Amino acid sequence: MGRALSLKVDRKRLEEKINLLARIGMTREGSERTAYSIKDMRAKDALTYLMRRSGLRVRVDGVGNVFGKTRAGTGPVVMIGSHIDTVPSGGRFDGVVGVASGIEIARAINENAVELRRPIEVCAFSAEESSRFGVGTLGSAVVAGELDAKDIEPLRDRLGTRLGEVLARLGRGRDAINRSRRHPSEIDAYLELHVEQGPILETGRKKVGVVSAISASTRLRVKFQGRADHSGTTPMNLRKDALAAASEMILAVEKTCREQVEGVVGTVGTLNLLPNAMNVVPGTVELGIDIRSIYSATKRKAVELVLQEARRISERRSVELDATIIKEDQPVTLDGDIVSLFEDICRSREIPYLNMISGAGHDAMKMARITRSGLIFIPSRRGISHNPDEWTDLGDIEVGANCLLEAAVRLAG
Amino acid sequence: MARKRRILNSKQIQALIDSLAKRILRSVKDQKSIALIGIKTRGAYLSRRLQDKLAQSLEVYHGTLDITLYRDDLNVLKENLTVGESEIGFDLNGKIVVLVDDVLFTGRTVRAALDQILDLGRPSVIHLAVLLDRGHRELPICPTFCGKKVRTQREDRVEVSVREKDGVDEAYIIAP
Repeated sequence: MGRALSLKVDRKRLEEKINLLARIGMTREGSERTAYSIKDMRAKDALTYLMRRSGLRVRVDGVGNVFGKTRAGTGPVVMIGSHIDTVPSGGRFDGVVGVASGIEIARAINENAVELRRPIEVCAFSAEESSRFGVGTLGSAVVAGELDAKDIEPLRDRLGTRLGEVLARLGRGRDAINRSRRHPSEIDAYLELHVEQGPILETGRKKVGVVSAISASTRLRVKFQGRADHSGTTPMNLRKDALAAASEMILAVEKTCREQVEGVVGTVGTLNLLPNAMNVVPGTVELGIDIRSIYSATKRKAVELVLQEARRISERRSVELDATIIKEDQPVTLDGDIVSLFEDICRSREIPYLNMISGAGHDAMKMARITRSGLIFIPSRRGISHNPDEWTDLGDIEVGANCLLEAAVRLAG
Repeated sequence: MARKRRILNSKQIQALIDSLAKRILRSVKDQKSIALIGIKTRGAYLSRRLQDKLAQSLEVYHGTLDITLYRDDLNVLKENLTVGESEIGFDLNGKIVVLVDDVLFTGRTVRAALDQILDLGRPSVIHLAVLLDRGHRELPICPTFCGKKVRTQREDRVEVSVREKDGVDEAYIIAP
C-alpha cells in the first residue's frame, strides 16, 4: 500500500496522450469526432497505438469499444473508462482525459511492476455523445446489457444512415454486437475520471468532485394545438394562441423546479412553432421539456406537476393538449464504498474535494448497472464544455489521474 | 485476355531483400536502433524479413500499418473500415522509421501511411523502402531504398506474392 501512494502518473506522458487524441479531428471550430466518423475511428486506431505502447493487450468489441488490458493479474478486472467521441465542435478534454489517464495509469502500474491481484482494463466506449444517433452512452449501455443489437441497429443519423450498416462496415454483425455484453462477474469495479462540464468545482476552489449519484432525465414532448388566425382581424378574446399557452408552460416548468420541488432541474430546450409567421396567430407549438433529478420519486413528482399545469393551461385557454413522455431514465447511485475510497484518498493527499452529483450522463451510469462504480470530476474552466473553449489545467488532470491511480491500485491490489 | 509476365522469381526476391537490408544498414550505421513499419498486407511480410536480417546488427522495432482509414479514395458508405489493425507497440517519437511496402506506384498509399504515422507521433526521420518501383507517380514521393525499378504501362497491374501468405515468392506484371 505504501508503494501505491508513492506511485504517480507521468505528467508529460499524460499530456502527450491527451494531445495526441485531441488533435485528431481538431479544426478551428473545435474537436470533431462524432461517433463512428472517420475521425472518431482514426482516433480509436491511435488509441490502440497508445495502449500497445503502454504494454496493454488490445481488443475492439462489436460496437467499436476499445479495450486495453494489463497482462498481470487474474480474474475480474478493475476497469477504467470513458470515451473519445465528441459532439460536433466539441472540446479537447471531454472524455479524452479519462481514457488518456486510464492508459497512463496502466503504464505506471506496468513500468513500476506493481503487483496487483486484478488486471486493469482501460476502455474507450463508443458513442457516449448522443449527437449522431440520438442515443448517448451507447457503447457502455451495450456492455452493460441494457441495449442489444435489435435496439441499436435501427438507429439512424440525420443522413438516414443506419447504425447497423455502420457497424457492419466495421465488420460487426448482430452476433458480434450482442457478444459485446459483459457479464458482471468479469468486472470487479469500474472507475471514471471526467471533466465536470459545470462551474461548481472552480467556483468552490475545489480540485476533485467525488460523484455520489448521476441524475437522469425524463423528456416530455408537449404540444398545444390552438388555431392559426389572421393577426389583424382576430380579436384578442376570440383567439386560441398556442404560443401564449406555451409561454405559460415554460414559466410553469421553471416555477415547478425552482419553487415547488426541491432537487430537480427543468428546462424547456426546444420550441417548434407553426406556422411561425409574423401575421398569423400561432396555431401549433411543440415544447421539448427535460426534467432531471438524482431521485426517481422527486423527478416523478415534478413531471406530474408539470403535466397537471399543462392540462390547466389547456383548459383555461381552450387549446388542445398532447403530452408524451418520450424518454424516461432512472437516476443512478454510485457505489458508497468507492465514494468513501475517493474521499479517503483526497483527504490523505490533502486535495480540496467536494461531494457532488452529476447533472450529465456518463458511461459510469451504465456500468453501475453491472458493477460497483465510481466517478470523479476535475474542474472545467468557467464551466464551459461541449465547446472548443473547454479547458482543464494539466495540473488538475494530473491530480485527478493520481487519485484514480490510487483507487485502481487499492481496488485491484 | 490478360497477359501475365513473371518479373521476379523467389531467388531474385530474396536477393532484393538482402540488398535492401544491406543498404538500410549502411545508411543507419551510426544508429543504435531503427523502426521498420510494414504497410499491410504484403509490406508487412517484407518488413518482417528485413527485421530478421537487420536484427543481427542493431535493435529493430517492428510495426505494421493498416492505412484504410487514411486513404484519399475511401468511400465510407461502402467499404469496410478497420480499427486496431495497425499494430505499433513502441514509441514513434524520435525514431528512425523505415516504411516498407512491396510496390510503389502512384504514391498515394505512402501518403496515407505518412499521415497516419504523423498522427501518432514525430519520428526524427521517415525513409521508404520498396521492393519494386513501377513508376507513374501522382505525388512527389520517392523511395529511399528501392529493390528494382520496372517499366510498366499505367493500366498494368503489378503483383507480388509472398510465401507467408501466397505460398511462393514471385512478382508479375499483368497487362490488361
